[in-house]
Amino acid sequence: MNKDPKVSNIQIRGLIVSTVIGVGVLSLPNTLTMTMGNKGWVTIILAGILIIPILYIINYIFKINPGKDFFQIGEETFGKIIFKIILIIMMAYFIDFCAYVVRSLGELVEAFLLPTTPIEVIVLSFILATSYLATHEIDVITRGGYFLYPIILLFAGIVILISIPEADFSNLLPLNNIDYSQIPRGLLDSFVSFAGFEMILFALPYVENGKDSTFKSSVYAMAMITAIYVLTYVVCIAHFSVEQLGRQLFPVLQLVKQVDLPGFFLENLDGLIMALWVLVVASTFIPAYFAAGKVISKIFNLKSHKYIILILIPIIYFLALYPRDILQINKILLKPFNILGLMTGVILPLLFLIVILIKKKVKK
Amino acid sequence: MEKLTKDLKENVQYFKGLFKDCDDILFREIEIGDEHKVKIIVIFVDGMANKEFVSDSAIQSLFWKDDLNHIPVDETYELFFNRIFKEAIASAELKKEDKIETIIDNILSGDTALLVENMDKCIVIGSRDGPSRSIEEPKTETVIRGPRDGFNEIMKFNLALVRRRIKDPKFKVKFKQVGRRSRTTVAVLYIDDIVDKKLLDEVKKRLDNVDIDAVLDSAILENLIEDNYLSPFPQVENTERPDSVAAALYEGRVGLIVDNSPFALIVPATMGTLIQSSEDYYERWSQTTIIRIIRIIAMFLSFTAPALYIAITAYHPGLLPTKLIYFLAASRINVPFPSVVEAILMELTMELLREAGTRVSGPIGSTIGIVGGLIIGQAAVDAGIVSPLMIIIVAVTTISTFAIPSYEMATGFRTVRFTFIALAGVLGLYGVVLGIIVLLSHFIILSSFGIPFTSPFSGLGIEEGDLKDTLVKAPIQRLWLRPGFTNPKNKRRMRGHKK
Repeated sequence: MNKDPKVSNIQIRGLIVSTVIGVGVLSLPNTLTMTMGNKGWVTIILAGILIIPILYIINYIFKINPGKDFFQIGEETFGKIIFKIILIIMMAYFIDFCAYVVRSLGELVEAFLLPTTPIEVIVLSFILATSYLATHEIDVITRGGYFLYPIILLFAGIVILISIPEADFSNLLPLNNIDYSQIPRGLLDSFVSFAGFEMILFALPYVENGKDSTFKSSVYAMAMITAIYVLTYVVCIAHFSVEQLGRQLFPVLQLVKQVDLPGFFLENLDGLIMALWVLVVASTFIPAYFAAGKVISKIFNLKSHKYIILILIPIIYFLALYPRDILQINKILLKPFNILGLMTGVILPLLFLIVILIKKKVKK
Repeated sequence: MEKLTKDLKENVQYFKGLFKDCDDILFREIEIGDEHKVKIIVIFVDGMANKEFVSDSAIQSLFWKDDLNHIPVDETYELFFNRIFKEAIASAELKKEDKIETIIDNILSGDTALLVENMDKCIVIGSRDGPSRSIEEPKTETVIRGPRDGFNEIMKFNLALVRRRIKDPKFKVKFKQVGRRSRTTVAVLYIDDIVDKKLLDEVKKRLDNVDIDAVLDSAILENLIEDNYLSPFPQVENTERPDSVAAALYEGRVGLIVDNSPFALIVPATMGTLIQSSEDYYERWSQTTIIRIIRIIAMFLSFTAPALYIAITAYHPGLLPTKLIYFLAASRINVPFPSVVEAILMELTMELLREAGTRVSGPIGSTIGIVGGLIIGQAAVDAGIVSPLMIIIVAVTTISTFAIPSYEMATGFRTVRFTFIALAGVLGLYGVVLGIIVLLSHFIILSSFGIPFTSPFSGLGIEEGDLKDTLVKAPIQRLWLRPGFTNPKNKRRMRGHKK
């Protein structure tokens, strides 16, 4: 109907929360205890705070270029060729993002829900189911993000609430002896879990009402994500001790599995939580999938990203299934994901800012 | 011929030729005047026009008005024609017309045409009065408390029922003709200073684009103007209740009343509006809030209940408490089919019963209920074809579909239910979740006249507090703003607590 997609300020919040919270929420407590012991919450909060300036930069870029989308601004600031290279890096990032997310989902679904189903079926059916929404424009994607946002809160709420009765918060003590040398590593580990906030690059230019408060909205979303991460981390530490936590790849699910709710209809909540979690992952995967399609369509100067999404189905599928085990997943998918994530999430906005500032100086 | 000519004979010849073999169209020839005679032809459709009214106030008054029959020698036909128009005919609705197409339209709608000798105009008397049903209680949306009048097939009565509830000159009714042959009148209803102009233009544009020979009911029009006609879910709301239409207009939506249909259409329709029922507003808020939540659960159960049963029994028995699992296994021990086959079998039986039950009525209908519900259910369990729990699941599913206020919405869920059963049979709980992802995607993509179908759950209208009247129902005092999803021009309903 109306050609120009429209997004509202409040949907930005939903989009950020639902894109960011996904695979990371399950594994973050484990990766953090490896480096930070029981002080992981420090780096989560630090990472959350450090992302706020980046959010500000992204908002600033769109504020000084009103009415233009990310690709137009990029071309104007960097020139065609350099921007193409940037787009290629972004493409690699989003495809890797998708592959990593869907592979993790496959592993977990195989482990917790469908032990005899081949992982190929799980991965392929998930990509096919999500491609329906990904072929649509950004307004539809943000609507989806906002629609699933309460489900994510529900998911986090259930996990946190059911574990409180058996939690032992003395595991968090002592609070003061922080190993400062480990903080950079911990920060890096935490940052991975915040990947996905770059989605606002695609959504911000289309915000219609409440244009001025998009920064506030994004900070609000980031605060919410940080709170959810810190709470799940605290709950996991309180439930398992640091030593136990270090040995569990997906402690949140383990935690849900261990909690018994005598007297309730559902004795084991892990199935329900897994089902909810698949929805949570879908809300992470769809925006990333969309972004991959969009970036590729811009690289080849195509009008629509519809067919790119279809072409991406086999690419993501094979990339996701290429690693043989968890170790290989970490090496082939997660490591590049970290590097590329830093490049698009941190370095790219900074580059934007620097080039824009230099251009301004030169003009004067 | 486009317009009437001066020659009465030619005009009548033309109409007679046009209405050849239309025996229900009557031509009455009269002559008035004492010395100087003037010929007048009256044309109307028998049964559509009120014959008594035509005889009394058109024909009789022509005969009996004395000064009309004394025609001065020097009077032109034009003057005489005007005299008839102004003085002789006792009718509230009267107009001069010379375009043949309009005259034909009017005659076929039940008006009476009066053709006068030597005039290239005719008088059209509003005499529409076809057979009609009296105003009855709506069959599909009954309420315990609230008005009991429902629409019938006659548009003017329907319009009056709505107008009685909105005594405001800003309430507009625009007529449009739809259907090349049926020439069905569609009334576009809106309140001028509330409705969003863009929405109104879109509705009018879509009505203009309709090209079909006949619109027999509003359902046909609904299919022709909705955004995605392939979807199993409705994107237009329909109602038999004038109070629902009036309430929708006050919310800034647009109503469509189609002649010959007791169902009015309301656009845009969203997920939020399709779970509202008119009774929600006549009951206390606390009760309605509980009912709203129950409806949302019913909506969910109506397509997932059998699928969840299959997923849990076949793939994830560990989810249930141990005792329940033992009981389940014991009750299924004699059932020879896998649970998918069992579920499909029972759901099909249920659909069969429902279809048979809706087509027949009265005493046979209740027989079907007894034979179907009681005997087949009991016998199937006794014979060991299905487990008793399956019967409960099927019953819960069916009852859930009835708890959804919008019948079309419930039908949509009924249709997708079988897909969910298949998905659960293949991939268990994971399959059900994949199905939910695709279904939600479909809802998120759908729009109704440009308004996202998932509003207000997907963001549009959240700031105006639409959730207060969709997810729950706040007391009326708290709903001081109109819903935001329609972008109303006038946002306030009442003086609110805040600014």
